[in-house]
Amino acid sequence: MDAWDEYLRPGHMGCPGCGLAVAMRLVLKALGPRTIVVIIPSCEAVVSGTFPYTALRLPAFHSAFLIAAPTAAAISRALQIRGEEGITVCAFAGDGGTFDIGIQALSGAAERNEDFLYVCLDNEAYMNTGIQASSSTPECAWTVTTPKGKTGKKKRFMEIMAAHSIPYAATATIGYPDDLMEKVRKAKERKGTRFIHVLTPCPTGWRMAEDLTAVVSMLAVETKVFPLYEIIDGEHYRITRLPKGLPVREYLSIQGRYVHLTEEKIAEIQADVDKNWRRLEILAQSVISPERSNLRPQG
Amino acid sequence: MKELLSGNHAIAEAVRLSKVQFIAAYPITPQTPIYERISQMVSDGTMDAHMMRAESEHSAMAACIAASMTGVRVFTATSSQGLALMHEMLHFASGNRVPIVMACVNRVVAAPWAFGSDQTDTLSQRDTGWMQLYCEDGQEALDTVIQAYWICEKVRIPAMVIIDGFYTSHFIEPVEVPTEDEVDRYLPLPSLPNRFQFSDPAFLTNVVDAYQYTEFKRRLFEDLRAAKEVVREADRRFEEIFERSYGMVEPFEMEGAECAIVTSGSITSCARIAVRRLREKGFGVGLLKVKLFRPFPSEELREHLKDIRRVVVIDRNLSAGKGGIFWDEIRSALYSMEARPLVFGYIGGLCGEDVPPEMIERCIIRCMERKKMEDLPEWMHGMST
Amino acid sequence: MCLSYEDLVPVSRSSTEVFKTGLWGKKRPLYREGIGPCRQACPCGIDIPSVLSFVSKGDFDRALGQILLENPFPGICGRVCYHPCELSCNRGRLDETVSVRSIERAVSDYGKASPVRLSRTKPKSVAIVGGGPAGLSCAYFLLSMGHKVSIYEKDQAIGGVLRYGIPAYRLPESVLEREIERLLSMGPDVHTGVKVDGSLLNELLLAHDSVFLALGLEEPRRLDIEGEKRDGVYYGLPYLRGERPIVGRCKHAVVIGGGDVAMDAARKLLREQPTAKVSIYAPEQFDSLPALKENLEEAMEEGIEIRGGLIPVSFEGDGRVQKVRFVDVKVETDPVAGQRRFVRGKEAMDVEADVVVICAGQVPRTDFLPSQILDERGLVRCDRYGRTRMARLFAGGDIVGFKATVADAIASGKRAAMAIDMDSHSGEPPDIPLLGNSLLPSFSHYLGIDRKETGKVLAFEALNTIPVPFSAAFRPEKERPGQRRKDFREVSKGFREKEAMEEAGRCLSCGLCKGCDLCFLVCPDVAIVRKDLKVFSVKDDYCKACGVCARVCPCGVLEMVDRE
Repeated sequence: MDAWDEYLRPGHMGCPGCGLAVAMRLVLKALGPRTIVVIIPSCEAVVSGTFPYTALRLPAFHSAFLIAAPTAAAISRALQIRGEEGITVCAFAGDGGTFDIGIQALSGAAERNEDFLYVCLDNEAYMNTGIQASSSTPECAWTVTTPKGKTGKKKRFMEIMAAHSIPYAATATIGYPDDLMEKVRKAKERKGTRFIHVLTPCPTGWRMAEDLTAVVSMLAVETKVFPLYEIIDGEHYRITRLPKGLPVREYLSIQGRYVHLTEEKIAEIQADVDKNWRRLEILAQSVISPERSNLRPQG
Repeated sequence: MKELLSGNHAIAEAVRLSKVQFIAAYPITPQTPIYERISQMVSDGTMDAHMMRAESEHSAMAACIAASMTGVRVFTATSSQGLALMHEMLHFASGNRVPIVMACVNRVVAAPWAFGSDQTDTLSQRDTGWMQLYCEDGQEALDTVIQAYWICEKVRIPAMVIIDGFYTSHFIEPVEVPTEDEVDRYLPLPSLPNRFQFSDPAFLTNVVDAYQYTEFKRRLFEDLRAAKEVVREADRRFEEIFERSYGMVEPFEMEGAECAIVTSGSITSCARIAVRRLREKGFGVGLLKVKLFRPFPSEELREHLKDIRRVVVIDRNLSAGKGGIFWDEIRSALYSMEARPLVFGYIGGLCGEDVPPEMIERCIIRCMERKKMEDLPEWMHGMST
Repeated sequence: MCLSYEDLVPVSRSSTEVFKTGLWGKKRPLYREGIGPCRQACPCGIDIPSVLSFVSKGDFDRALGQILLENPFPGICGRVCYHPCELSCNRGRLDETVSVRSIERAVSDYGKASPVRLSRTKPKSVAIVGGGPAGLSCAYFLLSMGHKVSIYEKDQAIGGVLRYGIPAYRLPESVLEREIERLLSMGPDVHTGVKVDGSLLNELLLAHDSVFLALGLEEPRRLDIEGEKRDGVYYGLPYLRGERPIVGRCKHAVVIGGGDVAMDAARKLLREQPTAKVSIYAPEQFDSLPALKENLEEAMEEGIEIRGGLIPVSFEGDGRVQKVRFVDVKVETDPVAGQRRFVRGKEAMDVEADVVVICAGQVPRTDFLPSQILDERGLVRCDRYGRTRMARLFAGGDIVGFKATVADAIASGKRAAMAIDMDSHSGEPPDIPLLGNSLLPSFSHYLGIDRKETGKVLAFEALNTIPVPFSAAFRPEKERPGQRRKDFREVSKGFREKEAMEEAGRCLSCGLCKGCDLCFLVCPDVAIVRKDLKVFSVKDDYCKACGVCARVCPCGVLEMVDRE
């Protein structure tokens, strides 16, 4: 397999700068040709194409909103029954289809350790239907259904998945494509339920310029808002990239969905981010130790 | 070989004999013995299949659809709340043209909460594009499951095989269980295509426009109509091998009758007794049992009822705001007749309330005197015998 | 009768590529490399990001080859240059600037490479007057281009200030010899011990196609104050050259001046006179002394006291100098002409001293040159390319009044070499490509053998530095101060290979594509095609002009431009 093969075609109807399209492209690139793709209603369906067109160079099925997980699980089982081997079944779902309406089905499949890869394309709201809030929307973010900013924190979904003791779970984002693809490759090698939570910024819904997609995704990681880590077998936490620790303000200030934030709110968000990071550090058994990561004192 | 089996277990045996490869199910009273028996058979190797312990009926049907599309023979079973929960997926299954066979064990749908047979659960799903076959007893259920696989895989439309909860599902009766060889002569081994091909990859079931949607839906409509022929053929072939047949509708003592009672499901057994008694008393009464509800056997009903002056339909179901659903569909099927019979409707046996033959007799006798059809049905509930 | 599902359900196989979503956008990304601010600031125009890229991969040989395209003496500059590159380094906006100069030294210490050698069917014959950095640089580039060169040097060995003006603790002799050997192996005719006067100059003009004057300034500037002629009063450059060594033991030496000559004079004195107390008194304020910060720090570490804001008014003593009288002074720079002016105050201060070394700069001694090429200050007047008013006569280095540093001298020699090669006897300026905003000629550009950059200089804001982790810079270790003054051993230990590689890895690669493939990987529309390492093209049919690629580029080589 040529490392430069593409399985997402251009000519799709994603918005300019669509982070979700990048994620689909990179995941499928890392998975390769023997992959069956499950698509559900979401921006991913828009990108994948309407009849008679397809942007996917792979066999795919447009399933229903909550059922990415059991669909993929059943395809995988049927392949086993038929004795067809070496095929990865990859389900894509949005944050709505994962955190909200799809959580029961995903949880059921994970508990049974069904054999498929589940990729959550998280743009932090129901973007396809017009930017309504989901339980993945971060606190204080504007959406059309939370015009004064969402109350209630973003669900810590990785921990929910870890609680099912699945073999592999990881966070990833498109600003770090090599990290994302490496994780997909690792996931591909394991059997059972594998879950990758990809932060896919959405210029349309996050109210920012369309060229900021990759940069804001990097900022999410470097400000510790969205750390990059893995959870192996539901127990071993491994941070895959040490963030710089930029102030969260740098991440928030370039997104229009946070334009209404007061200084107090920003400070609260910073405190929350720091607290979650500390929790993750404690959970992490091994951390990549960078060399010379801290600035030596001047003079 | 005859065995003492409950209706549920008879269905489970049929699933085994049909060499189903994949079952996804969720437990709900009164379906559970089907699920349990199949789980046991899979676990001890009597059946070579995958059992997915779905965490809801909605996921169970989702899994069945996906597995069927990947080219394996699938089965599921449910009742009541579970069937209601599956509703979205029922449309999805018929639209995806997958040959799923599902056993539905009729039970009343909350609220209020109760446990008793009631066809409202399956009849609420009559618009979802599934075939519906109502069975009177365990034997018929076993036979119908096997026939259903033959039919579905020919027409690529899913089918419900429906029995009364508790009355049929749990009553133990002697049931003739065919041998594997006999069933293998009737039903081919599973050889469904895997729709996920790498050689010419396609994106299945993606969004269409209004014109295309209508084309696909019309195709389903036409194929459901044509399925009646397949149902007939399935029954004929079944009779050849197993010497049992059921037809789409079954006439009983209809010769020379001027009044016909129409029933479905287990209540038919009581109705047979009522008809016999009425005949003994000199009434010209016959019985028509409706087995095939979707596609609706309008032609066949008109044929059997063409000389009938009065029709009495008993519905163990209710479409609130209108009346009994069989009554409704029968009246509409008969409307085009030149000489239309009077068609009276009775709501009887909701939630498994007892409807003894005596009660049925009384209703028929009453109907013999009635001159006018009403908009609303009469209720057997509270009637004394 | 088994129905195929293909007619029954939507089955889509046509590719979305029929939709030319490129029509959505009015711009397209343009790959255009640029220049780092380091290269723009470097008088020699060294392609520093390329050099650091090689070093970070451990390829010291190619790094050296890259430097030798623009600078013949990396071993020297890597030790003594005033490193304007570091001062403009974009990394400083993130955490700490990259130690470019120390890496340059490491490249010359560990790398092996040869200069470019071209051959000419009709080589020119050029005489170089003055074997200092400007003259040697001009010789190097002319030889590189295949011309014949004869060097005329008045001293017994070539090198000029490199040999005589910079003490060994900053530039060891072995390093100097190694660097000069690189030039000598290119085959110039070298005539040492030859002092060029007016008639020899005419002969040279007749015998050669062109003459390049790089005499340098060695005549020290006098203060013209009372007592300047007393015994014990010396001047900086003659002292450093060894023309006038300090006689006898000294108790307290006072060095006048705030530049690097003053620092070197003081530190040399310190080493020669182990028991002396050495102080420096400079007219500039302490926090704005012109000397290089490192030299200043090292001098202070070695125990030299430095005071600013003072200027001597007289040298007092009984025969020999015994004390210096200072007054406070403010140094003002004429905003128009750039001339410096000393505004003396009234506060007087006497300092005991038995040795005084005056380091107040150098003045030209050019009376033997044709007057038409001189200006009112006695410096040689020439244009940006080193051409004087006389045909076939070029000049460079301190003698033309350029910034008095080794790097600038090297640059002026290179400029003139290119001008000579272009045969610019006509009045038209030679068409030498110039880099960036400071209009420096790039030799690699001139020869057409280096990457094509534009004149675009990358500001920090043009780079995406978000994913770059913070890190402190490596700085080379130094000998301990207490050990240093015992002898003339080299003070800076330089980088080990691994240190140089790591430090070079901190380079942000401004304007030079690193081949990270980010632009290619984050395109949502698969509109960027990767043909090879660092080679990309854009599919206009599909590019929606979102600009994500341009924004994410860590090196700033992508910009969104209007489509035609």
